[in-house]
Formats: sequence, C-alpha cells, structure tokens
Amino acid sequence: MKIRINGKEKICEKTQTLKDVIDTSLKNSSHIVAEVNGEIIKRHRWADITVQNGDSIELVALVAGG
Amino acid sequence: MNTQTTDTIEDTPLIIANKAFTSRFLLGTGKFKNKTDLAAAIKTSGTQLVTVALRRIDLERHEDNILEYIPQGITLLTNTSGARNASEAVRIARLAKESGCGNWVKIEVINDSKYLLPDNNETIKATEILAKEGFIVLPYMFPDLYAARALVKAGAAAVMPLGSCIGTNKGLKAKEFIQIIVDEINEVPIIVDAGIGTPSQAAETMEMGCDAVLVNTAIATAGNPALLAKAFAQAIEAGRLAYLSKLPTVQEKASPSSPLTGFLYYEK
Repeated sequence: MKIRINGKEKICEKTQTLKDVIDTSLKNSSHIVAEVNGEIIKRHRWADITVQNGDSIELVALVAGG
Repeated sequence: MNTQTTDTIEDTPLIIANKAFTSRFLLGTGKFKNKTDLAAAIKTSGTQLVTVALRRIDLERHEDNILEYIPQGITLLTNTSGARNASEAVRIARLAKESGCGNWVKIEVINDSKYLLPDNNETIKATEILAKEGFIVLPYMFPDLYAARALVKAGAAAVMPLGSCIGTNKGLKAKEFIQIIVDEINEVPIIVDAGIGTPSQAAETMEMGCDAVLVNTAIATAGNPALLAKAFAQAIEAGRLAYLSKLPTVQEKASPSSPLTGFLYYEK
C-alpha cells in the first residue's frame, strides 16, 4: 500500500491507523496537527482512522515566522 | 508652574477584538539565528502579541516546538504565509487553530515571488470566510483605501498595511497611502506590518497615528536582537506619545523660539 506523508511516498506493509503512522514517523507528536486528504483529523480520532492506499497525509506544526 | 508630566498622561490600551494590549509592538518570530535570541527579544520588546507560521514537519530531524520559547500570556497570531490564494489561507488558518494556539490569524496571501506583495483581493475573500467562522482576523495588505474598507466590511479585527516590501528595512515608503487609511478607517486598529527597519521609522509610523507596529526582520537579523527590540519598544512608545501630544504643524517660514525683546545690545 502506498501513501504520501508530507509529499513523500511511503510504502506500508500492513494495515495501519493514522496513529500508527504518526507514531512510527515522529518521536514527539504532541504539538502536531494531522490532515488526511485535506481533512483535519482531530487527535482523539487518530486511532480510529485506518490509512487507505493512496491517502495523502500532512503533518504540520507551528514554527517561527513573521 | 506646569505640573503636568508624562507620568500623568495615560494612554488607552490597544484594543483588538475586545482584547486590550498595553504594548503596541507586535513581534514576528521568524529569521532569528537561534531560539535564545528570540526569547531574549520577546522579553526586551515587552510585546504581548507575536506571530508564528505553520509548516510541514520535517520527518528527518527533530525540531523544537516554537511555543516553548514564547512565554504564557502572550497572544499568538498565526500567519498564513505560504498561501497563494484565499482557499490556501483558509486551510492554514484552520490547521493553526487545531494546533491549539487560539483563533487569531494574520492573513498573508502572496503569489508574487519577486516583490512578495500581498494579494488584496484574495486577502479580502479569506478574511470574510474566516471572520464568519469566528477567527480574529488581522489581514496583511497593500495600503489601498478601497481594500481596507472591504476588509473592515469582511470582518477584519485590524488592518495591517505594509510600510514597504517585506524584509527590506526601507521604512515607510507607502506613507501617504497609509496616512489615508489612518485618516479614513476608524472602526479597527491600523497596524503597519513589513518593511519597518529602524526604531526611527517605527516612531514615525506611530507619530502619524497608526495604532501599532509589527517588526520581524530588522530585529531578527540585527547583531544584538534583544537590544534592538528594546530600542524599538522605546521608539514605538515615543512615537505614540508624540501622536497623542498633537504635534505642531510644519511652518514654511522661520519663527524665533526666544522673545524678540530685551536684547543685550551694546549702546552706541
């Protein structure tokens, strides 16, 4: 199964939830926001969302900026 | 004896969307060499409102959480930098809100990579959508009176015209057009954002009746950011006091400052 995380393609071997994907991608996800195919997924729903083939996941956070 | 001193002059706070700020200095957090410099500048600036941005996480390396360097109690204003149109700005604002930093957003829509000028039309569209959703919207705009009026009508909580192009430190190149906005828009604060490079330029901005100034590049790229942040804070306060004092008008002809009587001439 192929998905995209922040624009980069990733192959998933098995069925995973959004939470699984985030936990394997990041050490600390306490300050991030996740979006799947353009829809914001609230943190409490991360474990309920099963990632599908072709999904585009965006993981964003606040950074310094003017 | 005149007993009125500056101690007896009390300025009213800056009010944005019913929130009161005693500081009229908004600080951008971008471009600092390191987070220590940023934290020091936030402290010496006395700012109560700082901007942040939203970006994709770099999955290859650990990045600090910017919020760890911004003291509690300071209002966060997330910008929509990177947005090229209204819908991208709306998307960024919604993501920012989800990050838990509140619902204050600086609309910044730019699709010109050479001059980095804000697109007023798209900015108005984004402002209208986000204001209806309950965001406190502070749009960064090119200083045009019609656009400023449209932004107010769309629900903007302030109007933020550029002084000059972003990051140029050129100061108030758009002064005449900002003055028109200051004179004509009374419903919301006018905050000059972008291009202010020196404390004297910030003071000039406040003297002309603007309500606040947003500075980033000048401070972040200075040799000593904390020191310059303090200088800006004092200049903004000085400019504000000068404005409140009702500055005298410029005269074409010279007029003496001392009495024209009682001169000590040698008697002939």
